[in-house]
Amino acid sequence: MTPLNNLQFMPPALNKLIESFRLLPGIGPKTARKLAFSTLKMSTDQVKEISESLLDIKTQLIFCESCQNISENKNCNICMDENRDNSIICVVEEFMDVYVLEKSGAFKGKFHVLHGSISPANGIGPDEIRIKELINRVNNIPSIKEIVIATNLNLEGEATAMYINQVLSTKKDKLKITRLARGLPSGSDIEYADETTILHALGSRVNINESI
Amino acid sequence: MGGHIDVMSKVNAYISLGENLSNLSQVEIIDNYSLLKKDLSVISIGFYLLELCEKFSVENDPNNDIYEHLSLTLDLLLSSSNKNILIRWFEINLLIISGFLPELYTCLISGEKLSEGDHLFSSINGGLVDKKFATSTDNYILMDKNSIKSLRFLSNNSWSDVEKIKIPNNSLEKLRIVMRKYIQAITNSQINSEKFLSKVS
Repeated sequence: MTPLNNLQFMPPALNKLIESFRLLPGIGPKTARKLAFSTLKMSTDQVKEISESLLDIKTQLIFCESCQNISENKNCNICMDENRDNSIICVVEEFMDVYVLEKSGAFKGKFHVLHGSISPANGIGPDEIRIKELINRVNNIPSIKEIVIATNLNLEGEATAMYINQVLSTKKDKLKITRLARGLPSGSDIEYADETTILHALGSRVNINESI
Repeated sequence: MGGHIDVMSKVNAYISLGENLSNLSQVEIIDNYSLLKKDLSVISIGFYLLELCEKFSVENDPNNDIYEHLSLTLDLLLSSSNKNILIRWFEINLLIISGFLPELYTCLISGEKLSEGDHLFSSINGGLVDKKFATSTDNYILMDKNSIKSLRFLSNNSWSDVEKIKIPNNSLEKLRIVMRKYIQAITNSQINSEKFLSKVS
Protein backbone atom coordinates (compact mmCIF):
# COMPACT_ATOMS: atom_id res chain seq x y z
CA MET A 1 0.00 0.00 0.00
CA THR A 2 1.26 3.53 -0.77
CA PRO A 3 2.34 5.12 2.49
CA LEU A 4 0.23 8.26 1.96
CA ASN A 5 0.10 8.84 5.70
CA ASN A 6 3.76 8.43 6.28
CA LEU A 7 4.24 11.98 7.48
CA GLN A 8 7.57 12.59 9.15
CA PHE A 9 6.20 14.44 12.14
CA MET A 10 3.95 11.51 13.13
CA PRO A 11 5.31 8.84 15.46
CA PRO A 12 6.00 5.57 13.59
CA ALA A 13 3.56 3.67 15.85
CA LEU A 14 0.72 5.97 14.81
CA ASN A 15 1.65 5.69 11.15
CA LYS A 16 1.67 1.93 11.48
CA LEU A 17 -1.84 1.97 13.01
CA ILE A 18 -3.12 4.23 10.20
CA GLU A 19 -1.70 1.85 7.61
CA SER A 20 -3.31 -1.09 9.43
CA PHE A 21 -6.75 0.53 9.40
CA ARG A 22 -6.36 1.19 5.68
CA LEU A 23 -6.22 -2.55 5.08
CA LEU A 24 -9.90 -2.76 5.97
CA PRO A 25 -12.42 -2.50 3.12
CA GLY A 26 -13.96 0.93 2.60
CA ILE A 27 -11.38 2.72 4.75
CA GLY A 28 -9.53 5.51 3.00
CA PRO A 29 -6.59 7.55 4.34
CA LYS A 30 -8.76 10.19 6.03
CA THR A 31 -10.97 7.65 7.82
CA ALA A 32 -7.89 5.66 8.80
CA ARG A 33 -6.37 8.77 10.40
CA LYS A 34 -9.65 9.54 12.17
CA LEU A 35 -9.83 6.00 13.57
CA ALA A 36 -6.20 6.10 14.66
CA PHE A 37 -6.67 9.38 16.53
CA SER A 38 -9.86 8.04 18.14
CA THR A 39 -7.89 5.00 19.29
CA LEU A 40 -5.33 7.34 20.89
CA LYS A 41 -8.08 8.91 22.98
CA MET A 42 -9.32 5.55 24.29
CA SER A 43 -8.29 4.04 27.59
CA THR A 44 -5.64 1.33 27.59
CA ASP A 45 -8.28 -1.25 28.63
CA GLN A 46 -10.53 -0.37 25.72
CA VAL A 47 -7.67 -0.62 23.23
CA LYS A 48 -6.61 -3.92 24.77
CA GLU A 49 -10.15 -5.25 24.37
CA ILE A 50 -10.27 -4.25 20.70
CA SER A 51 -6.87 -5.76 19.95
CA GLU A 52 -7.78 -8.99 21.76
CA SER A 53 -11.07 -9.22 19.84
CA LEU A 54 -9.21 -8.83 16.58
CA LEU A 55 -6.76 -11.53 17.52
CA ASP A 56 -9.51 -13.83 18.79
CA ILE A 57 -11.29 -14.02 15.44
CA LYS A 58 -8.10 -15.42 13.94
CA THR A 59 -7.07 -17.69 16.79
CA GLN A 60 -10.41 -18.92 18.13
CA LEU A 61 -12.63 -19.16 15.08
CA ILE A 62 -12.46 -22.17 12.81
CA PHE A 63 -14.74 -23.56 10.13
CA CYS A 64 -17.42 -26.01 11.22
CA GLU A 65 -16.49 -29.48 10.00
CA SER A 66 -20.00 -30.12 8.79
CA CYS A 67 -21.42 -26.90 7.32
CA GLN A 68 -18.19 -24.87 6.84
CA ASN A 69 -19.68 -21.93 8.73
CA ILE A 70 -17.49 -20.03 11.20
CA SER A 71 -17.47 -21.62 14.62
CA GLU A 72 -15.54 -21.77 17.86
CA ASN A 73 -15.88 -25.55 18.00
CA LYS A 74 -15.51 -28.47 15.64
CA ASN A 75 -19.23 -28.18 14.95
CA CYS A 76 -21.11 -24.88 14.98
CA ASN A 77 -24.14 -24.08 17.16
CA ILE A 78 -26.55 -24.51 14.25
CA CYS A 79 -25.23 -27.98 13.40
CA MET A 80 -25.34 -28.98 17.08
CA ASP A 81 -28.93 -27.79 17.55
CA GLU A 82 -31.09 -30.91 17.83
CA ASN A 83 -34.30 -28.94 17.30
CA ARG A 84 -33.38 -28.08 13.74
CA ASP A 85 -34.50 -30.08 10.73
CA ASN A 86 -31.68 -32.38 9.59
CA SER A 87 -33.40 -33.28 6.35
CA ILE A 88 -33.03 -29.89 4.70
CA ILE A 89 -29.84 -27.99 3.91
CA CYS A 90 -29.71 -24.43 2.69
CA VAL A 91 -26.62 -23.73 0.56
CA VAL A 92 -25.29 -20.18 0.76
CA GLU A 93 -22.23 -18.41 -0.64
CA GLU A 94 -20.93 -16.65 2.49
CA PHE A 95 -21.42 -16.90 6.25
CA MET A 96 -23.01 -13.42 6.16
CA ASP A 97 -25.85 -15.07 4.23
CA VAL A 98 -26.39 -17.50 7.14
CA TYR A 99 -26.74 -14.50 9.42
CA VAL A 100 -29.35 -12.87 7.14
CA LEU A 101 -31.39 -16.07 6.78
CA GLU A 102 -31.20 -16.76 10.51
CA LYS A 103 -32.34 -13.23 11.29
CA SER A 104 -35.47 -13.81 9.20
CA GLY A 105 -36.38 -16.77 11.42
CA ALA A 106 -37.98 -18.45 8.41
CA PHE A 107 -35.56 -21.34 8.00
CA LYS A 108 -35.28 -24.14 10.52
CA GLY A 109 -32.99 -26.53 8.67
CA LYS A 110 -29.19 -26.70 8.48
CA PHE A 111 -26.80 -24.68 6.34
CA HIS A 112 -23.83 -25.22 4.08
CA VAL A 113 -21.45 -22.33 3.35
CA LEU A 114 -19.62 -22.51 0.03
CA HIS A 115 -17.16 -19.66 0.73
CA GLY A 116 -17.77 -18.06 -2.63
CA SER A 117 -19.34 -18.77 -5.98
CA ILE A 118 -18.09 -20.11 -9.26
CA SER A 119 -16.38 -17.22 -11.06
CA PRO A 120 -14.41 -18.71 -13.94
CA ALA A 121 -12.89 -15.43 -15.11
CA ASN A 122 -11.35 -14.98 -11.66
CA GLY A 123 -10.02 -18.52 -11.65
CA ILE A 124 -12.63 -19.75 -9.17
CA GLY A 125 -14.07 -23.04 -10.31
CA PRO A 126 -16.03 -25.72 -8.41
CA ASP A 127 -12.81 -27.05 -6.86
CA GLU A 128 -11.97 -23.70 -5.31
CA ILE A 129 -15.16 -23.47 -3.23
CA ARG A 130 -16.64 -25.99 -0.80
CA ILE A 131 -18.84 -27.97 -3.15
CA LYS A 132 -16.90 -31.18 -2.54
CA GLU A 133 -17.74 -30.93 1.19
CA LEU A 134 -21.43 -30.51 0.32
CA ILE A 135 -21.37 -33.60 -1.91
CA ASN A 136 -19.68 -35.64 0.84
CA ARG A 137 -22.26 -34.45 3.34
CA VAL A 138 -25.18 -35.38 1.09
CA ASN A 139 -23.62 -38.79 0.36
CA ASN A 140 -22.85 -39.56 4.00
CA ILE A 141 -26.07 -38.39 5.68
CA PRO A 142 -29.06 -40.44 4.49
CA SER A 143 -31.57 -38.20 6.31
CA ILE A 144 -30.94 -35.30 3.90
CA LYS A 145 -33.99 -35.00 1.67
CA GLU A 146 -33.81 -31.47 0.31
CA ILE A 147 -31.15 -28.98 -0.76
CA VAL A 148 -32.25 -25.34 -0.95
CA ILE A 149 -29.81 -23.43 -3.13
CA ALA A 150 -29.61 -19.85 -1.90
CA THR A 151 -26.70 -18.53 -3.95
CA ASN A 152 -26.86 -14.97 -5.22
CA LEU A 153 -29.09 -14.25 -8.19
CA ASN A 154 -26.34 -13.05 -10.51
CA LEU A 155 -24.59 -14.99 -13.26
CA GLU A 156 -21.95 -16.46 -10.91
CA GLY A 157 -24.60 -17.48 -8.37
CA GLU A 158 -26.74 -19.02 -11.09
CA ALA A 159 -23.78 -20.95 -12.52
CA THR A 160 -22.99 -22.24 -9.02
CA ALA A 161 -26.61 -23.30 -8.48
CA MET A 162 -26.73 -25.09 -11.83
CA TYR A 163 -23.44 -26.85 -11.18
CA ILE A 164 -24.58 -28.06 -7.73
CA ASN A 165 -27.85 -29.25 -9.24
CA GLN A 166 -25.98 -31.08 -12.02
CA VAL A 167 -23.61 -32.82 -9.61
CA LEU A 168 -26.07 -33.67 -6.84
CA SER A 169 -28.86 -34.95 -9.05
CA THR A 170 -26.54 -37.64 -10.37
CA LYS A 171 -25.21 -38.54 -6.90
CA LYS A 172 -28.38 -39.26 -5.01
CA ASP A 173 -31.82 -40.39 -6.10
CA LYS A 174 -34.93 -38.80 -4.69
CA LEU A 175 -33.03 -35.74 -3.47
CA LYS A 176 -35.18 -32.66 -3.85
CA ILE A 177 -33.16 -29.67 -5.09
CA THR A 178 -34.85 -26.29 -4.83
CA ARG A 179 -33.87 -22.69 -5.48
CA LEU A 180 -34.99 -19.61 -3.56
CA ALA A 181 -37.95 -17.90 -5.24
CA ARG A 182 -37.12 -14.86 -7.33
CA GLY A 183 -39.25 -11.77 -7.58
CA LEU A 184 -39.84 -8.23 -6.46
CA PRO A 185 -38.36 -7.13 -3.13
CA SER A 186 -40.67 -5.75 -0.44
CA GLY A 187 -41.21 -2.01 -0.70
CA SER A 188 -40.11 -1.82 -4.33
CA ASP A 189 -41.91 -0.20 -7.26
CA ILE A 190 -42.75 -2.37 -10.27
CA GLU A 191 -41.90 0.64 -12.46
CA TYR A 192 -38.20 0.30 -11.62
CA ALA A 193 -37.90 -3.49 -11.79
CA ASP A 194 -35.79 -5.04 -14.52
CA GLU A 195 -37.25 -7.43 -17.09
CA THR A 196 -35.63 -10.55 -15.60
CA THR A 197 -37.11 -9.86 -12.17
CA ILE A 198 -40.58 -9.23 -13.65
CA LEU A 199 -40.26 -12.44 -15.67
CA HIS A 200 -39.40 -14.48 -12.58
CA ALA A 201 -41.97 -12.73 -10.41
CA LEU A 202 -44.71 -13.61 -12.88
CA GLY A 203 -43.40 -17.14 -13.39
CA SER A 204 -43.24 -17.81 -9.64
CA ARG A 205 -46.54 -16.13 -8.76
CA VAL A 206 -48.53 -17.80 -5.97
CA ASN A 207 -52.14 -17.97 -4.91
CA ILE A 208 -52.84 -14.93 -2.74
CA ASN A 209 -53.99 -17.16 0.12
CA GLU A 210 -50.67 -19.05 0.06
CA SER A 211 -48.43 -15.98 0.21
CA ILE A 212 -46.79 -15.25 3.56
CA MET B 1 -30.33 -1.31 -10.66
CA GLY B 2 -28.46 -4.54 -9.83
CA GLY B 3 -30.64 -6.74 -12.01
CA HIS B 4 -29.96 -4.54 -15.02
CA ILE B 5 -26.17 -4.66 -14.88
CA ASP B 6 -25.47 -8.33 -14.42
CA VAL B 7 -22.70 -9.97 -16.44
CA MET B 8 -23.73 -11.09 -19.95
CA SER B 9 -26.49 -8.55 -20.40
CA LYS B 10 -26.70 -6.08 -23.27
CA VAL B 11 -27.83 -2.73 -21.88
CA ASN B 12 -28.22 0.93 -22.68
CA ALA B 13 -26.48 2.71 -19.84
CA TYR B 14 -26.77 6.43 -19.14
CA ILE B 15 -23.58 7.63 -17.50
CA SER B 16 -22.86 11.16 -16.32
CA LEU B 17 -19.15 11.60 -16.77
CA GLY B 18 -17.52 13.18 -13.76
CA GLU B 19 -14.05 14.57 -13.25
CA ASN B 20 -13.04 11.80 -10.86
CA LEU B 21 -15.99 9.43 -10.66
CA SER B 22 -18.72 8.89 -13.23
CA ASN B 23 -22.31 8.35 -12.19
CA LEU B 24 -24.49 5.57 -13.60
CA SER B 25 -27.91 7.17 -13.66
CA GLN B 26 -30.12 4.85 -15.75
CA VAL B 27 -29.90 1.40 -17.25
CA GLU B 28 -32.21 -0.18 -19.77
CA ILE B 29 -31.90 -3.83 -20.78
CA ILE B 30 -31.67 -4.55 -24.51
CA ASP B 31 -31.08 -8.29 -24.15
CA ASN B 32 -30.20 -10.21 -21.01
CA TYR B 33 -29.70 -13.53 -22.85
CA SER B 34 -32.06 -15.25 -20.45
CA LEU B 35 -32.23 -18.37 -22.65
CA LEU B 36 -28.43 -18.72 -22.64
CA LYS B 37 -28.39 -18.43 -18.87
CA LYS B 38 -30.52 -21.54 -18.46
CA ASP B 39 -27.80 -23.89 -19.69
CA LEU B 40 -24.61 -24.34 -17.67
CA SER B 41 -22.48 -25.42 -20.65
CA VAL B 42 -23.60 -22.33 -22.60
CA ILE B 43 -22.93 -20.10 -19.57
CA SER B 44 -19.41 -21.52 -19.38
CA ILE B 45 -18.87 -20.56 -23.04
CA GLY B 46 -20.25 -17.10 -22.26
CA PHE B 47 -17.78 -16.68 -19.39
CA TYR B 48 -14.96 -17.72 -21.75
CA LEU B 49 -15.96 -15.28 -24.52
CA LEU B 50 -16.31 -12.44 -22.03
CA GLU B 51 -12.90 -13.11 -20.51
CA LEU B 52 -11.29 -13.15 -23.95
CA CYS B 53 -12.92 -9.80 -24.80
CA GLU B 54 -11.68 -8.37 -21.53
CA LYS B 55 -8.14 -9.58 -22.24
CA PHE B 56 -8.14 -7.99 -25.69
CA SER B 57 -9.72 -4.71 -24.54
CA VAL B 58 -8.02 -1.71 -23.06
CA GLU B 59 -9.46 0.27 -20.15
CA ASN B 60 -11.08 3.56 -21.23
CA ASP B 61 -10.66 2.71 -24.90
CA PRO B 62 -14.02 1.60 -26.35
CA ASN B 63 -13.67 -1.02 -29.07
CA ASN B 64 -16.85 -1.21 -31.10
CA ASP B 65 -15.62 -4.05 -33.32
CA ILE B 66 -15.00 -6.34 -30.34
CA TYR B 67 -18.38 -5.39 -28.89
CA GLU B 68 -20.19 -6.18 -32.17
CA HIS B 69 -18.29 -9.46 -32.55
CA LEU B 70 -19.17 -10.54 -29.01
CA SER B 71 -22.78 -9.47 -29.44
CA LEU B 72 -23.12 -11.46 -32.69
CA THR B 73 -21.47 -14.54 -31.18
CA LEU B 74 -23.75 -14.48 -28.12
CA ASP B 75 -26.73 -14.24 -30.47
CA LEU B 76 -25.43 -17.26 -32.39
CA LEU B 77 -24.63 -19.30 -29.32
CA LEU B 78 -28.08 -20.77 -28.82
CA SER B 79 -28.81 -21.56 -32.46
CA SER B 80 -25.41 -22.97 -33.46
CA SER B 81 -25.33 -26.74 -33.71
CA ASN B 82 -21.56 -26.98 -33.16
CA LYS B 83 -20.55 -24.71 -30.35
CA ASN B 84 -16.89 -25.75 -30.49
CA ILE B 85 -16.60 -24.48 -34.07
CA LEU B 86 -18.32 -21.26 -33.01
CA ILE B 87 -15.79 -20.75 -30.20
CA ARG B 88 -12.87 -21.27 -32.61
CA TRP B 89 -14.49 -18.88 -35.15
CA PHE B 90 -14.94 -16.31 -32.38
CA GLU B 91 -11.29 -16.64 -31.30
CA ILE B 92 -9.76 -16.30 -34.77
CA ASN B 93 -11.98 -13.31 -35.60
CA LEU B 94 -11.16 -11.67 -32.27
CA LEU B 95 -7.49 -12.07 -33.20
CA ILE B 96 -8.17 -10.49 -36.61
CA ILE B 97 -10.02 -7.53 -35.04
CA SER B 98 -7.20 -7.02 -32.56
CA GLY B 99 -4.51 -7.20 -35.24
CA PHE B 100 -3.10 -10.57 -34.23
CA LEU B 101 -4.12 -12.78 -37.15
CA PRO B 102 -1.51 -15.56 -37.28
CA GLU B 103 0.44 -16.05 -40.51
CA LEU B 104 -1.12 -19.10 -42.16
CA TYR B 105 0.19 -18.95 -45.74
CA THR B 106 3.88 -18.04 -45.58
CA CYS B 107 6.66 -19.61 -43.54
CA LEU B 108 7.57 -17.22 -40.73
CA ILE B 109 11.28 -18.08 -41.01
CA SER B 110 11.98 -18.46 -44.74
CA GLY B 111 9.25 -16.12 -46.00
CA GLU B 112 8.37 -18.70 -48.65
CA LYS B 113 4.82 -19.68 -49.52
CA LEU B 114 3.86 -22.83 -47.60
CA SER B 115 3.16 -25.96 -49.59
CA GLU B 116 0.09 -28.09 -48.85
CA GLY B 117 0.88 -30.45 -45.99
CA ASP B 118 1.75 -30.57 -42.31
CA HIS B 119 3.51 -27.57 -40.77
CA LEU B 120 4.51 -26.29 -37.37
CA PHE B 121 2.69 -23.54 -35.50
CA SER B 122 4.77 -21.11 -33.50
CA SER B 123 2.67 -19.47 -30.79
CA ILE B 124 5.55 -17.16 -29.85
CA ASN B 125 5.99 -15.82 -33.38
CA GLY B 126 2.32 -16.12 -34.40
CA GLY B 127 2.07 -18.36 -37.41
CA LEU B 128 3.18 -21.38 -39.38
CA VAL B 129 6.73 -22.49 -39.98
CA ASP B 130 7.88 -24.99 -42.58
CA LYS B 131 9.22 -28.06 -40.79
CA LYS B 132 12.57 -27.87 -42.56
CA PHE B 133 13.23 -24.37 -41.17
CA ALA B 134 12.22 -25.16 -37.59
CA THR B 135 14.57 -24.04 -34.84
CA SER B 136 15.19 -25.94 -31.64
CA THR B 137 14.43 -22.91 -29.45
CA ASP B 138 10.72 -22.58 -30.34
CA ASN B 139 8.03 -24.76 -28.78
CA TYR B 140 6.09 -25.68 -31.94
CA ILE B 141 2.75 -27.41 -32.33
CA LEU B 142 2.51 -29.81 -35.25
CA MET B 143 -0.53 -29.04 -37.43
CA ASP B 144 -1.79 -31.50 -40.00
CA LYS B 145 -3.03 -30.18 -43.34
CA ASN B 146 -6.72 -30.53 -42.41
CA SER B 147 -6.29 -28.44 -39.26
CA ILE B 148 -4.44 -25.78 -41.27
CA LYS B 149 -7.19 -25.77 -43.90
CA SER B 150 -9.85 -25.45 -41.19
CA LEU B 151 -8.06 -22.55 -39.50
CA ARG B 152 -7.68 -20.75 -42.84
CA PHE B 153 -11.36 -21.28 -43.61
CA LEU B 154 -12.44 -19.96 -40.19
CA SER B 155 -10.28 -16.86 -40.62
CA ASN B 156 -11.60 -16.05 -44.11
CA ASN B 157 -15.32 -16.66 -43.80
CA SER B 158 -18.41 -15.35 -42.10
CA TRP B 159 -20.39 -17.53 -39.71
CA SER B 160 -23.09 -18.20 -42.33
CA ASP B 161 -20.45 -20.06 -44.41
CA VAL B 162 -18.60 -21.58 -41.45
CA GLU B 163 -21.72 -23.15 -39.96
CA LYS B 164 -22.20 -25.24 -43.11
CA ILE B 165 -18.88 -27.05 -42.81
CA LYS B 166 -17.90 -30.00 -40.68
CA ILE B 167 -14.54 -30.10 -38.93
CA PRO B 168 -13.36 -33.49 -37.63
CA ASN B 169 -13.00 -33.70 -33.85
CA ASN B 170 -9.24 -34.27 -34.00
CA SER B 171 -8.77 -31.11 -36.08
CA LEU B 172 -11.04 -29.16 -33.73
CA GLU B 173 -8.99 -30.32 -30.77
CA LYS B 174 -5.79 -29.28 -32.56
CA LEU B 175 -7.28 -25.84 -33.25
CA ARG B 176 -8.25 -25.54 -29.58
CA ILE B 177 -4.67 -26.22 -28.51
CA VAL B 178 -3.20 -23.85 -31.12
CA MET B 179 -5.60 -21.03 -30.19
CA ARG B 180 -5.04 -21.52 -26.46
CA LYS B 181 -1.25 -21.40 -26.80
CA TYR B 182 -1.35 -18.43 -29.17
CA ILE B 183 -3.78 -16.40 -27.05
CA GLN B 184 -1.72 -17.16 -23.95
CA ALA B 185 1.39 -15.94 -25.74
CA ILE B 186 -0.30 -12.71 -26.88
CA THR B 187 -2.00 -11.84 -23.59
CA ASN B 188 0.89 -13.20 -21.54
CA SER B 189 -1.61 -14.77 -19.16
CA GLN B 190 -3.78 -17.83 -18.63
CA ILE B 191 -7.42 -17.73 -19.67
CA ASN B 192 -8.96 -18.68 -16.32
CA SER B 193 -12.42 -19.62 -17.55
CA GLU B 194 -11.04 -22.25 -19.92
CA LYS B 195 -10.75 -24.74 -17.06
CA PHE B 196 -14.43 -24.37 -16.18
CA LEU B 197 -15.39 -24.55 -19.86
CA SER B 198 -13.60 -27.91 -20.19
CA LYS B 199 -15.15 -29.17 -16.95
CA VAL B 200 -18.79 -28.59 -17.82
CA SER B 201 -18.90 -28.92 -21.60
